[in-house]
Amino acid sequence: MSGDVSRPGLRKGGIIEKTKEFWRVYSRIRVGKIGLVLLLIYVVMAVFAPWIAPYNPRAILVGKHFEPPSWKHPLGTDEMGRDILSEVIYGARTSLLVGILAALLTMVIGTAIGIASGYIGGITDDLLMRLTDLFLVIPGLPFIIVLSVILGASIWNIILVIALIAWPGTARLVRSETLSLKERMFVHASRVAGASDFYIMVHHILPNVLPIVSATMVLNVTRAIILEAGLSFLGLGDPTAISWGTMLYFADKEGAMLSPNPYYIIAPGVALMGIGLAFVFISYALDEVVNPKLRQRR
Amino acid sequence: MPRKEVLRIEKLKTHYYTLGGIVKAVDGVDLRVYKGELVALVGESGCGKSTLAFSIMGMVPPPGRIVSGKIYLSDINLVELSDEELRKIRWSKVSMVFQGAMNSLNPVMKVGDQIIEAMLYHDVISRPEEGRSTVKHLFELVGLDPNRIDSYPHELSGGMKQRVVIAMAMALNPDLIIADEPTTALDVTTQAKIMEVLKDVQKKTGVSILLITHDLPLVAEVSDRVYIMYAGKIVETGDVFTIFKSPRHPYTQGLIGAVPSIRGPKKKLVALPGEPPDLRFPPPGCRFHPRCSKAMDICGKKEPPRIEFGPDDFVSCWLFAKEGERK
Amino acid sequence: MSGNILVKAVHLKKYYPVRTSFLESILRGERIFVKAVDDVSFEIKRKEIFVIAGETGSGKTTTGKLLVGLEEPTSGEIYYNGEKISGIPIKKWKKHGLRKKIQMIFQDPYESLNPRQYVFDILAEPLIVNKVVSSREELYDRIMRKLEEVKLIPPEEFAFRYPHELSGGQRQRVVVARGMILEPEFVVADEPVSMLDASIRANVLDLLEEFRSKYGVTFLYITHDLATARYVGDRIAIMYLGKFVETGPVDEVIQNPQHPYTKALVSAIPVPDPEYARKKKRFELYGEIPTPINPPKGCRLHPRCPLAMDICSREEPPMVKVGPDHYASCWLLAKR
Repeated sequence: MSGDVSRPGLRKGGIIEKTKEFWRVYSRIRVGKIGLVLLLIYVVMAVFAPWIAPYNPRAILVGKHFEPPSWKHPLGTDEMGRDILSEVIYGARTSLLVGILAALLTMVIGTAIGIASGYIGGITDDLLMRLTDLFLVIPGLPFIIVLSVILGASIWNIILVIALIAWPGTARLVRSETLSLKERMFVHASRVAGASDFYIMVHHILPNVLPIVSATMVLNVTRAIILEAGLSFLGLGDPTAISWGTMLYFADKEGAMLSPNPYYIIAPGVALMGIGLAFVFISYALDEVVNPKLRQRR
Repeated sequence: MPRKEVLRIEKLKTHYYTLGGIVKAVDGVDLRVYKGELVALVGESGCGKSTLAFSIMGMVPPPGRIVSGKIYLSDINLVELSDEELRKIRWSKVSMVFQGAMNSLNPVMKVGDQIIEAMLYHDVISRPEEGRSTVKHLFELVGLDPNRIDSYPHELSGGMKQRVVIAMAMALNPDLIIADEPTTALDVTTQAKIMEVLKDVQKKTGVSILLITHDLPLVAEVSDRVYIMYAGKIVETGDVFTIFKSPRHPYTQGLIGAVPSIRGPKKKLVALPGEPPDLRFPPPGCRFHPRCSKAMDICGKKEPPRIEFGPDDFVSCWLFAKEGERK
Repeated sequence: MSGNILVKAVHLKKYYPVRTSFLESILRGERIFVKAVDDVSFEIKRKEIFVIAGETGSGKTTTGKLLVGLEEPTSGEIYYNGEKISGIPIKKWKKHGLRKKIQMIFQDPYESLNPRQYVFDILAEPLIVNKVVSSREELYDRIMRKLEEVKLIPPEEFAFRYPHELSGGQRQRVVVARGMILEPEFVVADEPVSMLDASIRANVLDLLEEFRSKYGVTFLYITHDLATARYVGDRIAIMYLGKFVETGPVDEVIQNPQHPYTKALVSAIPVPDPEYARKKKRFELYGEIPTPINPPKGCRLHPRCPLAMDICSREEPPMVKVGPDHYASCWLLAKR
């Protein structure tokens, strides 16, 4: 049969080989490479901020108020005379932290609820799914605003709040995947072997839903980064953290657009756009790698 | 009187260019089908038999392509045709019934309309109404109630759907039907009926059938001639009686010895040792030699010659070569 | 003591409710069922390979699932070694010590192995969840020994591969090894070779025979293929629409079928002998096997049977003895 052309027997399934194979396919997708390079820039910015940034981003009056770009301050200064380039560089830390942690938390909550709901079924399923529906129909932004006001503005609360409104999508995805997985023969085989439900959920269902969940993870990161910026822009962010959203908030409040230094608004905006694009490109490329049907069509 | 050739394949090579290497799925195959014949192409999964079918239909999936060789379908070499020309010939000269074909029927379209659509596409008719009487004839041909023309697939049983698929394959009155595992996954009683329908259609219309299967007992029951394929090559061919009564190639002997029967004395079955080779890295010499109990020195070094015993009757094996040639 | 009988099923039934809309169920006034297994009784002797053969929808697979606890019977009893085991939910099997005794070999070597586990982990699972090994070394030894027994040699070569890195035949050997790793006494083998190429089927079938002679394992072999049934089986039951229509020694039933359904089934099977095939007369039934929802009254075969009589549509035929240990359920054979 033609389906058997890739006859087994020779390939050894080591992690290294798999990564190589993955990279071989991934590296042929141009936007994927662009996305990766972009992301790498942000990661370097976040990790090495203290060495890269020319000034301490919190230090006020390193320049004058709203100083336009110059060799000393490539992106100018803000209303307090802080260096904008340094602020943007440090902002990558907040964005990546919030994005990745919120997406991880989303994944954990969504996967746990999705697997439990799909595998256990019955009343558990009904209850969990109604809860999911509830969270799905709650208008997201007002809910976040209310919640962050109640919980108070801190980075950790923002992460929690974002995860709280993002998990239902993941839960639904995982549940439907679990429903089909639990009818697969190897799950029946495991039951006959004497495995408990918990054992099956952890050893058979979870590893098989993870690839799909991780594929959505990338988009969840983007979403969390944008949400954080949105919240901060509305003044609900953590005022002690340097983030692009907070920068936009103050820039807007202080009328930066009409000031001598419009880069106060443009710089964090472009930074946000760039990181969003990076993740979207990566997610597009991952989709092609993970989904062989898409790959064939090219 | 020489019989009329419907299909003649010469030295066909179809390879897949995968990331892991070149898969030589069909590697120098010669095959002939005469008018009104039922020829069986037998081999295990992965031997390249389905790729051969796709090659004839001009539908080799990427990354595969026909590398060299000729496929003559009543004197037209299909390999040289453009995609557009192939599209016209496909179905009107050669059609296909494939495994699980009954599940390929469109569930929201009446079965009759699905056949009419194929006829419209090939310009046999210009308006749908013209096709209805033809479809009714086709249904009679395959033993279906002509009133079933307006049924939806879900209203038909598995066996009836398979008949619709055969009717569809016959819609443009082709010279050749390629039946790729047409009864795999069907129950034996349904399988027997479907094979009967195919034989019956053949008797009435004189269409040639190339049956591609791994099921040896089925081949013994229905076919006239047999080709045995192993690892991309034809290792033996002959008429069905010769193949089953006095198989020559050790692979053919092995296949027959491994198949249980409900008749005759209960014998100990001897499965072939090992596994078919990876077609990216086939063994040198005779591709079967690592699994062959009669392998000699030369088998691992040189490809065996084709020893002809008559027209369409040959074996590729060193055991049948003259002493002097085995060096 | 139960003597020579290891497994006994008495009036076993398994009905599945058909999902209908709320409105429909009110209008009909009754629930509809798929009668997958409908009053089946049989005994399996120790060290026997008992075959249940039938076509799609016959209920053979459901019968197998009932015996390993994957399904619970609607009514009827299953006895194992003289003790009633039907009614024990599958989660309690471990506690009752049944899990180590009764195992299953699954059909599909592609579907029944978790694609993300190494062969080693697949085989380790039954040993770990049943807590039958006390050390890492013991676990390793047992897995290697079992791989050797199913002829995946050298075992170290195969243990740390993923299923997709094995051929179909090798995968099915892993499936067999998993079924046998707890060293069970009774194993349900559900179509263990139907997905394999004919040339390697015999290898896997021979494994069953080896486990029987080496460890005295009793097998229920479920298949649609009478040729392999004849090759491995001792006794056979032919199943049609949830009922046994004929039982007896495998060779006797296949060479000398008494029930019209068995006759049709046997005569439809291709024989690898072209001369005989061209001479043989087929015994044909009308139509195709219907769904087991509302099966026909009386004898279930009567609408398809060319030999049907009046009584066949009215009354269910009794099981009649037609030879030594050979029974068939047909009015043609009953003395009235």
